Amino acid sequence: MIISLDLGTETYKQFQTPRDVDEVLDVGPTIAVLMDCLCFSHNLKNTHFVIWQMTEFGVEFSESSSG
Amino acid sequence: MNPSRAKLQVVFLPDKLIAEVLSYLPVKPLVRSKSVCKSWNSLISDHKFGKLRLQRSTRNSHIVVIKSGSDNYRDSFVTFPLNHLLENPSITIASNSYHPLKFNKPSRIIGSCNGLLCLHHHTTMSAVPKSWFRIWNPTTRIKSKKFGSFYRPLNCRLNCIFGYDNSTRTYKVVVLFRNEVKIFSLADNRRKSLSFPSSDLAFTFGSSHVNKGVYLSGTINWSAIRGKFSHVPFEVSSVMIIVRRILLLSNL
Repeated sequence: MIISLDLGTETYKQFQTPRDVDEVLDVGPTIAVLMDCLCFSHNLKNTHFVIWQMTEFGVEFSESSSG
Repeated sequence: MNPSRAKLQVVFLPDKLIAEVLSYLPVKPLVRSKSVCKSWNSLISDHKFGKLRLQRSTRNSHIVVIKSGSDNYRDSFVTFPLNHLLENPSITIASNSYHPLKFNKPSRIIGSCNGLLCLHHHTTMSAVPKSWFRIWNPTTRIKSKKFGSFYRPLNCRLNCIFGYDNSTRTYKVVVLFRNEVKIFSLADNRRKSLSFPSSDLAFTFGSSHVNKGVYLSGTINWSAIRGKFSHVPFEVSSVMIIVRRILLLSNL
């Protein structure tokens, strides 16, 4: 999951990571900001690199590239 | 009008217009312009002018590459425009091109936001080192007052993230250690402690189940993953220089 702390209200929100990502991970995922969007990336079966992009904050991730 | 009277006429430019013109200057002449007169100095030092500069520079983002010192607390850094990376597939940074942070106390760069770097300083001569933060403009070399002083427990991994609170227009540092989350605010040197957002022990900050947080428009975000995996830090250890962290700096 993504834990988000709002610096203004100083409260947390939690978002689900894409699909059931917890189960397919073999290496720790990375969270980063790309093009002003929150991105979540991970390796998949040592052959694929997947990047998920949260295009609207707090709204579900969309898969932006794979392979 | 006779010619001698015309010579005496003083050209008056409103401050707003002067700021507009100055905001397009590169950094070096801009810093020099502060010595022109008192009013230019106060105009250039004003936070509104900084904001104007930031708007101008959004298309001129810079990368900061940080090299940690031997004790992990004496960072040095080098900056270059982001588009260099797009134009060159490979960039080599000579080890002597890093600028060491020249402060009395050991300092680490913990993050960047709006073109400013956040530094974490700490004392060395004490069993329980005291630490604090400063915000520093790497271009003008102007630093903020100290804020967020606290005693750092030894052998305790600290996770510090720097961000800007849009609603109160202040910079904040979020520090995680053990199961506690501390928020330090530059504006009023206030601190707030929060407990961890989940009762699930797998999600203890500082463990490999929670990544180092990232800042995005007024929020700090962490990914927390349930399950067992081997944590592989994003670090290339086979080259001569180990680049520990790379930050994006938007205003130079």
